Amino acid sequence: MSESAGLEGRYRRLLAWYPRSFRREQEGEMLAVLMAGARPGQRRPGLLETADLLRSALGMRLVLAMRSLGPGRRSQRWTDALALFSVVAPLFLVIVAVLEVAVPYRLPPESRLLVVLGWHEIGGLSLLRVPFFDVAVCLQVVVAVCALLGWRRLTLIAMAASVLYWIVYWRVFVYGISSVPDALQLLAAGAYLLGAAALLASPGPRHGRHLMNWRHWAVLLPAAAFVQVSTLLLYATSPIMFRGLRSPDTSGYLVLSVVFAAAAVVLAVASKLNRYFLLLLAAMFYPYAMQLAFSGAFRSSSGVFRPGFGTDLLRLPTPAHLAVLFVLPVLLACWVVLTAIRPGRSRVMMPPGQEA
Amino acid sequence: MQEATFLILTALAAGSQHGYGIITDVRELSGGRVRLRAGTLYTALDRLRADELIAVDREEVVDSRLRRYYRLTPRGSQLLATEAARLQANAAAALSRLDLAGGTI
Repeated sequence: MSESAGLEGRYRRLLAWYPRSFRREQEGEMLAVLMAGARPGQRRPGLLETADLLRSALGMRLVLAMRSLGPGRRSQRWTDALALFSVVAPLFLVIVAVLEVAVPYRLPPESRLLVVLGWHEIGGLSLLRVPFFDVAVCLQVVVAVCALLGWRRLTLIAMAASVLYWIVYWRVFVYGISSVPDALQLLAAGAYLLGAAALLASPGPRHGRHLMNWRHWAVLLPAAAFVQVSTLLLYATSPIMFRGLRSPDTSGYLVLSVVFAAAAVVLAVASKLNRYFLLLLAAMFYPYAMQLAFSGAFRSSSGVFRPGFGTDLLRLPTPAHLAVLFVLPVLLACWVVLTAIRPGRSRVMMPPGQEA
Repeated sequence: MQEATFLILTALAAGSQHGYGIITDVRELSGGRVRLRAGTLYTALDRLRADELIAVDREEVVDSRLRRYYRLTPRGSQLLATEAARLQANAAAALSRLDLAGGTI
């Protein structure tokens, strides 16, 4: 291979970082410019040149992403995703709540002390006796029904009521032990933040209901199963529940959590769902994923995974912890609303009287 | 307007140029101070095209490589003229004040 061909190949590998649409139009031309600027005998792209190309390529990818979401350029797929999310997220929350009641964590035999105290299971029907839980779930059902019927304003009002209720709940229980599952609190926070933004910025839940089909539920049902099994995992690894007791074996829950999470991800990719809808779902799951990651729930007794930090973000709500928990849904919700209400304008400010 | 953008538009003010021509012209215009790299140039060209300040003039194949020539649009010429006038006014004000201060230039 000649020096020139080798250099050209290396430039091509760097240009591969650019978006495909840009490469299709500009790659040959850019390559010509790069080769024309090369020193005689040069075999590799220089360090600064490489950094410049990578910076430019990543910047261009970012710009393309922004253009597809930006004001006046919002694609149909993006507004469809928002409409779909505004109806799917409330329904998903109800399914999670039903699973929390339907599938309790049964205390293992080694936790006899808790059994003696009268705790045979955590979650399950006992949740209905937990203060706040029944009203919180009722409000979730109201939100889901309003969304399903396509009532945008009523859905927003019900969401606001639900959020207010959660705030009161937090004021009461923030430093105590509450039995409302973490998953329900965190998923509700993500779903309502993004759901409210989606309701404000989309054609509405009625449009979303028409877009909903079995493929969405093929992804969301294993996702709900993952939430339930990982909730049981959180219970089983809770230092509060089992302080001073032998920690139960959590390997089974761990394996099932991974299997359901993997199934949801594989089905999401294979069924080619709207990627913006998947982005919204990922942002909704983000607080719960952070809670799981930081809590150390994946420190299984078999020692397979140990990535947790042993920090309970939800029950030690410092500003930093809250930022870690909610940064992604808050930013995305702000972005959704701002891009919807900000009037489109040219990026170049022409002098007064000379606008095109 | 950033200096690199101003120089790219200036390079195209006299007529259409291809990418490498713009790089060499910008270096010359800035007295060797501004050396555009390909990544920076094409990011700027993409932005300027999106803002309709420049457009593709024509394409040629030289030594089996594509050359695309860019030209200023009327909107680009207008913006460049406005920016040049603004810079000129600023420079004149600065020079005038320096002159008043003691004629040390």
